[in-house]
Amino acid sequence: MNSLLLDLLTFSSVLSAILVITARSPVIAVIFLIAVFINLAGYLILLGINFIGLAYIMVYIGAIAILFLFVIMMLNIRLVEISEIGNQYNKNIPLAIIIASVLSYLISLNTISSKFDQIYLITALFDKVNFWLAGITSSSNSLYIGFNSTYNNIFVNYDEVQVLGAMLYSSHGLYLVLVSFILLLAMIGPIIITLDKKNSPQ
Amino acid sequence: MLLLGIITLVMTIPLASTYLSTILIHRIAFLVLLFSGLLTYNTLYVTPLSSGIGILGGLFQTTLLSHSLEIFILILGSIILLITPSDEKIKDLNKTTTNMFNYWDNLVSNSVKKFLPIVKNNTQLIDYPLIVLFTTLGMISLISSSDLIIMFLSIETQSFALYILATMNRNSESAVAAGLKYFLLGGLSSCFILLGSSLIYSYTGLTNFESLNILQSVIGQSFEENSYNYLAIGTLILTIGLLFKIGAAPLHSWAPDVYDGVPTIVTTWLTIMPKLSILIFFIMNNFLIDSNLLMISALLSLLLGSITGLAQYKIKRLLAYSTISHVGLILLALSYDTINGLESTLFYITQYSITSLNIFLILILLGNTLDKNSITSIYSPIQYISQLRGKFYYNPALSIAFSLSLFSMSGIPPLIGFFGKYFVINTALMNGNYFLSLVIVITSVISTVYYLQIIKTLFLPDTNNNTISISGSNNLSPILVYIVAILTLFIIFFMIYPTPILNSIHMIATTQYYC
Repeated sequence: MNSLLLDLLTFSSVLSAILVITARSPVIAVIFLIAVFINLAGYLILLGINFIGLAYIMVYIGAIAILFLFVIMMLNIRLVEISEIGNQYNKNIPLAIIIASVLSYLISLNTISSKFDQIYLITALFDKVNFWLAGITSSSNSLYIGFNSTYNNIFVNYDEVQVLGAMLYSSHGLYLVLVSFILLLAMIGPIIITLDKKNSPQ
Repeated sequence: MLLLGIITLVMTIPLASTYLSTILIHRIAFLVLLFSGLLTYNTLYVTPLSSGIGILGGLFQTTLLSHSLEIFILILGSIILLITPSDEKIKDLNKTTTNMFNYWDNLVSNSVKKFLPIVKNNTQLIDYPLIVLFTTLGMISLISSSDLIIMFLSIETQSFALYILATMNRNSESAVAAGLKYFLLGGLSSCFILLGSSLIYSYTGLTNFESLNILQSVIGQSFEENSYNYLAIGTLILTIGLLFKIGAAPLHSWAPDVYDGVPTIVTTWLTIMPKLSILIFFIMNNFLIDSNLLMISALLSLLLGSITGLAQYKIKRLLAYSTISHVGLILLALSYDTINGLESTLFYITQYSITSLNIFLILILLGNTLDKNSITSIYSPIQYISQLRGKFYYNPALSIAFSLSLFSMSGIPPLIGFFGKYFVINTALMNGNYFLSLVIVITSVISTVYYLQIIKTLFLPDTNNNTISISGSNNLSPILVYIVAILTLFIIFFMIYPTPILNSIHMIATTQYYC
């Protein structure tokens, strides 16, 4: 049951992600973007990662997507221009085909030693991702190295936020330092790019 | 030290930019980088360094290799920071001060007149050193990162600062377009890196490189029997993302556009530094990368870089294509997991970054000699190869240095570039890869054609007088001229006394393999 729901959520999030880039009107694209976020948040909550799922809803849907909508309303882009520009990029398709074929060749080289079976590969990929993230399985695999959230929960029962905080502020505090520098840069960068010193007072 | 420098500059620039000159800030950043290099050098001779230590809870690792290359990066970065962008402003200042074209006098006069708002700052590039410090922070933490998350964060620090760097000259449309293109494609490649690392994590549950390496060496054999192997797919996608960042073919198409659009100073930084850090990351963690992919990418970069470069008429685009072919050579040397391959990679990286730094410095210097009225943009004066026409007769020494470093790029024997190519071909032959070594030889002949074309243009007589020869080379900044002289002499005379560099590279490579 759970697995079916997860698959459904995955499918609809991929579908709406495709619709984001194919939608003609930017407003509709943003609405599909919100749909992607909702699907992902549902996926995360179903997996038991409640905190990040809720953060998704709050941050992405509550703040960023609404900001997007607001900006699009303010900008008033003409639709014809966008589709014209989009047509120019069709000439890069041969390069994309080359890259895709090289990539799939390499993946198959690494993964399937004897037989070359793409469809099997892709279904197996989804299968495995599902398995390692959620413990939902259909295939047998002798190597069992990953973590399993059910076993972890048997031993110690922390709250998720507690776990995150304990990790971030003790052993992995360096992540916070680096992230803070990235955020500082993200604050300075737009100021540098957009600040007009000639028109400002003084 | 670097962090301290960044914080100081973040504080300083908004507060003091009305009466501090751009040069002063550049010099401060230069000193910061040099000092960090010195601090790194101080810790170079710690005994356990040769076997490698994990620091800060195992999130970072340092070995002799990462340490010495960190010093190299810092010194190179400080040299690039010596290029001050605002020649216009220097001339303005020189009208007020008596001394002609002397930076240090400028500094003195500035500190005396500190409370007078005399400096009409070139506001566009005043924040350049700050952003450069941010990228350097990212690069240094990248080369010694020992954790997937730290790796991703430092790559983001590095490339995010680079996007800002590329967009910095916002008055020019080409720079903004280039920055936007760089940002979008860089974001795409970051997605690849994230996908790869999350695949690795979801398969193994590990983020630490050391544990990953142990895991891979323990169960490496049983991978063959598995019909699908996510560690391999993960590393493959990770490598693709990183190759995207260094602009290796077939993921190169952003590189010429971006390098062409941004100001020349920024191009200098973009072509040399981010590649250096990611390549060193490849060397440090060579279990993470897939050597088949590197070989394919090397072959394609060699071919594309040398053949498509023939059709270029803009000089920075041409240099971008030449960069692609050189990256191909480095990747080829990197894909052999032997001590020989490591040595040739290190040597090639060193000589290539020095030569290309020299070329860009000369390009900037030659750009200063152009007539201010005939150029289209202040920040990238020389855009077309035809603008170099007849430069030999106005500035013979610089032109000879330029053609020498171009010869070195194409691998003409007495210069340093020959040795780099020689080592790479030697490695390829020793590993029995005759096809790729043949490709190297052929493509380097092809790429010599466009280097020779630049040199030919340089020595042709000038037909339309768009150059003013005001008293020879007097209006060039002295520090840059000294650096160009030193680098050119290094390129020429490497063959006379090659032992220090070769020995140190050999030692670094040996400790990486046998300790």
